[in-house]
Amino acid sequence: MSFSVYRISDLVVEDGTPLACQIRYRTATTHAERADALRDLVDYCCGELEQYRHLKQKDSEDALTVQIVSILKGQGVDAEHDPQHGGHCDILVKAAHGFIWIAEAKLHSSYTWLDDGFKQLTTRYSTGVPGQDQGEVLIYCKAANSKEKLDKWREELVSRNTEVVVFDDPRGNPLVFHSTHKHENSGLDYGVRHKIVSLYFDPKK
Amino acid sequence: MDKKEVIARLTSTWADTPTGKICLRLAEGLLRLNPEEAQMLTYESMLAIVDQDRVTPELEAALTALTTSEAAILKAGGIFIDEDDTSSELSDEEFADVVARNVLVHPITGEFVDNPRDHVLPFFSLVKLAESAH
Repeated sequence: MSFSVYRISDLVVEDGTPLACQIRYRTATTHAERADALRDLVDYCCGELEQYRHLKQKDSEDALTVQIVSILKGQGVDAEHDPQHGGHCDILVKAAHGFIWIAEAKLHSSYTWLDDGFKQLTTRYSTGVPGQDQGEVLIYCKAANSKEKLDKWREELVSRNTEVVVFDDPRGNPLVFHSTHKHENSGLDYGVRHKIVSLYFDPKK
Repeated sequence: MDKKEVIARLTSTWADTPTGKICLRLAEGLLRLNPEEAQMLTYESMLAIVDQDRVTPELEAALTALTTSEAAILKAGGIFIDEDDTSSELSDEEFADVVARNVLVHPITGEFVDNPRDHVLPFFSLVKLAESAH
């Protein structure tokens, strides 16, 4: 029997790199681990948008979402934009063992618009059954001070959805928070990560 | 899912992407292997199938697709080689811990291994598919 000359340390050179996240996604033994690795890959995609935000100012909500899906597919993730899944959700990721992760992506304009996305995600597209009990609200923010916008959304979310419990990101990312509530369909806890993508660009010189 | 269904599913999901070409080439090569060959597939095995001499991001993406998608035909695993060159196959949970947290308890001594990612070699095995209906 011949073994590979590659070691895991040759592949996972640094935690958080896209390849390291891909390998975590491949080796996940639970849906929770799978969702965690996927969220890191989504962070990588959003980081690419933020890095090139000067080129994204005219991009629509859909155009930004298509770019995220394209980067995810480039990482080997089975991601789709706008598929029919109880309606047309923005990003649908499917994986083996019945895993489904859905994101609603909204360009920040009003908190009603964000709440529409949250309600579409939680009451229209998701089933809330095991392996399908994690989702995401992605907020593209072209305005200044995205942290302020996210904090305001957190307040609005709780006031408009009294059953929802919110908490800080366990990894300490201040531009992310999480919510959980009992899913109407399954009766199980449904977790949503709320992530703001900072795309403001107004150079002073 | 049988071989035809796997290829059809991969084609519909990946055909229009840079990952798709190598993904399908890899899948077709893997599905021709005999069962003995398909149990311990290394990165070198994959390079031979796609006739490449180095691992590219597209090959990694294809391996991710073939390991994680609904039409997954590969399962990822790890072999631990200790300082005496003794090898042992890790459980799925042990391998996931090495990948995600760089943590491994030595299967014989019961002690934590120092930097286990340096001592674990990845491999893939082909999952058993349904026979095609005739």
